[in-house]
Amino acid sequence: MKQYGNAETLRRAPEQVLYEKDAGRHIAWITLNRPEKHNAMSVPMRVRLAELIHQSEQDDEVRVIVIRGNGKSFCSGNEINEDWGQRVPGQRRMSLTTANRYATDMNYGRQGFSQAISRCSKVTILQLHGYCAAAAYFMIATRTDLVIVSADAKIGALEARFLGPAGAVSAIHINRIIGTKAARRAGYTAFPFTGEDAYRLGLACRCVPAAEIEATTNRLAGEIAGKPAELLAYYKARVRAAEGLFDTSVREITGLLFSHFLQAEKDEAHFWTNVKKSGVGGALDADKARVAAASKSRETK
Amino acid sequence: MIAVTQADAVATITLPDCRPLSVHDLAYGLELRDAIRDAADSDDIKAIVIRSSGGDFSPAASLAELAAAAQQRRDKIWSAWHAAYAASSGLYQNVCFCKKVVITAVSGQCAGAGSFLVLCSDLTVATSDATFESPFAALPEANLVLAALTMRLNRAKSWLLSGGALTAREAFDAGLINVIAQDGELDARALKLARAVTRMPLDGVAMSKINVETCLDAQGVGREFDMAGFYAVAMQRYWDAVPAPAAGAAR
Repeated sequence: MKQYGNAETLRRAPEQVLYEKDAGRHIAWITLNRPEKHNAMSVPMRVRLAELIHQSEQDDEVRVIVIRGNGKSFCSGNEINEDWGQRVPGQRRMSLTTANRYATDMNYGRQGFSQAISRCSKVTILQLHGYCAAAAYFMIATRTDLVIVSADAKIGALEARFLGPAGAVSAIHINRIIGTKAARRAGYTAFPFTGEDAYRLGLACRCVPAAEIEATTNRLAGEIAGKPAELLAYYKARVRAAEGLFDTSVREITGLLFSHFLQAEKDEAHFWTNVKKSGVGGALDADKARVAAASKSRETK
Repeated sequence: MIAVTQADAVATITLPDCRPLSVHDLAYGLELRDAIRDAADSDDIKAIVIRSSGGDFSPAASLAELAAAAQQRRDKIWSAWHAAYAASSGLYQNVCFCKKVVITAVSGQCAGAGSFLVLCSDLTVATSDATFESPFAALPEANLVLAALTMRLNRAKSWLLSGGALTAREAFDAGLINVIAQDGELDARALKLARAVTRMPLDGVAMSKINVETCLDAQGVGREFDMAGFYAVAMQRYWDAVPAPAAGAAR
């Protein structure tokens, strides 16, 4: 199958998603390592993440997989300013085959990295600090078995303000994990919730000061990996069956279809255009300026 | 071993037969999976035909072969076997939820994996002498929800419990196959169906398949696939109790 990405992102993916294993303790670590971009994930990084999950599933020495990020944040989501081969020159937009491949095989479909995590036969633990936004929120944080969060974390569908549709609102698993009201608040308003909020809502099983998160995660991973492999396999078989009965297998396909035809009105943020012009930071600044101007206009009236 | 040709938006995948899939040959299953994924991934392809190179589409595996397969599967149920045959990354989900229309062309005996490929495909053409054996005795990953949706519930249960083979006419009447081809016309009729599909715009094919996937999931097909590992564990008790047959014994 065609591997998407560009020469740079394909080349750098192995160093941007690191893998370590302590065979004696039966723990593997998958570490996002693109700190200069808050670990925003390129297409090849997401593919590598899924491959490492599958590799760990085949490895009898691994019982627990810890996912974490280097730098200030766990992950700011998918890299949205990446030319990954989505557009054939001369085409107005990517074909639906490519869009479907993007959703299904690179993101939240049956073969995407998010379901590789939620269907994993090994115990998965997320060590979450700093920002955990967009895809990192609804495709990793809400897919791992256990989440250890630092109190100062900022978590949520922060992209909803600019992009839409609010896929996190309709995601079945998010509604199940944090409740429908909280899912809608996060999805419609893009307000982030803190580590303490995540613990209170039921997303995280531990909330600790940032300085303690690594030790806490390490301790919990060790405690779980110390259990018999067969017992953990039984537990995970139960979890996978329950996820299946809950219908995690149903993908959030409407988000894909709506995104494919999404057009911004003249008075709305042309976020993608601005991203292409001036990067994500520039697009954010442009949006702030747009909101401020609209506010000033209302005051004048 | 598996050959792929492409012409006029149709990919034709030709395999010797499906028997290796019935005994869970991991490499063979992944090779066919990859051929289907590659074809589905191409904007040049709208329909995929799966056919055998001649003779029976899916000869029945012997009891000894199935018993040996079960023993080889025993320690891989939640790992390599699951990944190749039961998981979302495995063969059958890549057929059932393929992004392009899949057509199976069946001649002669169709047992085990062949019958399950027929269930997973969108359309099926068969020769008049084709017979369709229930896949459930050989394959724990076979999807009963899909069979019930295809043939109706009571027919699917009867097929599972009796283990009998349906003639092409019975399979047609039950809704399992779409077309019975006359002698020597199997490939032509399969290609004719494929050509009809290719008249639809590419985005139309993609959207139709997305909608079909949602329809199947709404009725539990995905959930049934999620249970395949448990069915393999349950089936293992049966194979453990089966006396070792003489080599080459018939089913």
